[in-house]
Amino acid sequence: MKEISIGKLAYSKLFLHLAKYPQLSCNGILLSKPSKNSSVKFVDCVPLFHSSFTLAPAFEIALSQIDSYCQQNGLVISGFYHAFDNNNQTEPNMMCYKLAEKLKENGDVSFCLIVDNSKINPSNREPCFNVYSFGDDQKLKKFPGNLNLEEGTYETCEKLLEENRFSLINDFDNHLDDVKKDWRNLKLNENISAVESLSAK
Amino acid sequence: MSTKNLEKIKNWNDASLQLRNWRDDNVRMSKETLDLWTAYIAPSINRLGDEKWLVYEQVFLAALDCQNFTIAEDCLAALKAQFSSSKRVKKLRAMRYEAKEDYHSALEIYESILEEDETNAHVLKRRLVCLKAQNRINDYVRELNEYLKLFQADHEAWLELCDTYLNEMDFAKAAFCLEELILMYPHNHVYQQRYADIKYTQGQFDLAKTYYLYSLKLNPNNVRSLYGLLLTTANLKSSQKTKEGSDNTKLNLWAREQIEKKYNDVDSDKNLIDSVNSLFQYLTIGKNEK
Repeated sequence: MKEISIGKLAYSKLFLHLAKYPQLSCNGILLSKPSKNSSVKFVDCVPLFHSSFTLAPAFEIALSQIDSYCQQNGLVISGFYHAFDNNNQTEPNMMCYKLAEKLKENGDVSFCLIVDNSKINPSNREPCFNVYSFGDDQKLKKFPGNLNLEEGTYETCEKLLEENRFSLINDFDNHLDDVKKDWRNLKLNENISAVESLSAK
Repeated sequence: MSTKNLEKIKNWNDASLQLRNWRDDNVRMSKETLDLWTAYIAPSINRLGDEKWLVYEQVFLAALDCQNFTIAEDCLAALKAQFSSSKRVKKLRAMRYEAKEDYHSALEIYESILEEDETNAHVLKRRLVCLKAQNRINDYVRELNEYLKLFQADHEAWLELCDTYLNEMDFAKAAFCLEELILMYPHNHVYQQRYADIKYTQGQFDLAKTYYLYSLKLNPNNVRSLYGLLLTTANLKSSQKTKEGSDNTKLNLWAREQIEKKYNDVDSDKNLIDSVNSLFQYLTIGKNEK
């Protein structure tokens, strides 16, 4: 596989999740459309947790519901992102490895996006993460190919940051604390699309 | 200043009240604190009277969090002028070094405070945090354990140690920390539920089920415990063929009904309910299972 790409919606939601919990680690699942050729495009993401990442129960419930969501929308789980609370940690750790391994067992591809905390601000005009992929050799290695972002992604993130929209995103932790909070963030998806169409003018 | 939290602030009084609430609740709303400071409080800080020293400290810490060293220096200068020989202000000076990642200088100051007062818990904890910030996790865990020998009732520290062990996937030691917390606070449903989560992760479904039940007895609305009960009873079903097996079935069904009710109460849409139902199908104990 030579390249992977990430859509505006997926990137924006990832970004908002990080912005909502700047002092904590965060992680989430990345979803893509199943494709016949060997390219992967992340079209949506589900923010998962901002605490206790290694506990199984919440994780099993989340994955099961996300699986069902994928079936309803013709998507597959193809990777996850993780942001460490420690500013200087940029490499995946054992927890990331185990998660990548688990996703690979259940799908064709398993990508692991580790956020680089120095690159989160969209004014950098650089993707805020490094990409690793879990190969058939059972190793998690840096992905050598290209990473494409949809046009207008950084501008959308800047606008969302300006308007303090990060308080609107809900992750699975929020949902378990109050089931009214929608982990699919459907309303927020609409908001993000509205921002996109403004910045396109 | 358009975050949801700040929509209700219309004037100086609202702002100072909000800051007081955040101080009392010990919440970390750094960006919002700085917004309120700049917009309302700073221009007329003296209206606060003696409260202003607490506000200076609060804003100083928020400024460090947001790496706004200009505001931080202003606040620190005011505090130093008023309390020139205070250990508390000395600690704040050290925290400014921490914010700049100059741990060497920060630690020098902490050591000098501890020389005069070796049981100053705040400073002992700052010293620990310097280790965590430098990602020296093994040292951090060791020192945190030493700290807890002195301050066994510090529940925050036990929680922190538990979280650290969880990140390192050392579930047995994480469970031990929660056991200490449960002994101290036996009526806290969150500790019971988190303990159950750890037991589940370790594969000890029986024990997990027991603690989810304790948690639900204390708070029947704990959704994580309801889901936990569902998961544990589903995992236990195949290993039991006795009265316990039928008890599991009943608990499984009860958990399912409670969860369904929760989603219906908040008018969840069909797709979300479908997702939850597909989970139930996977985790329900069939009527034929004995």
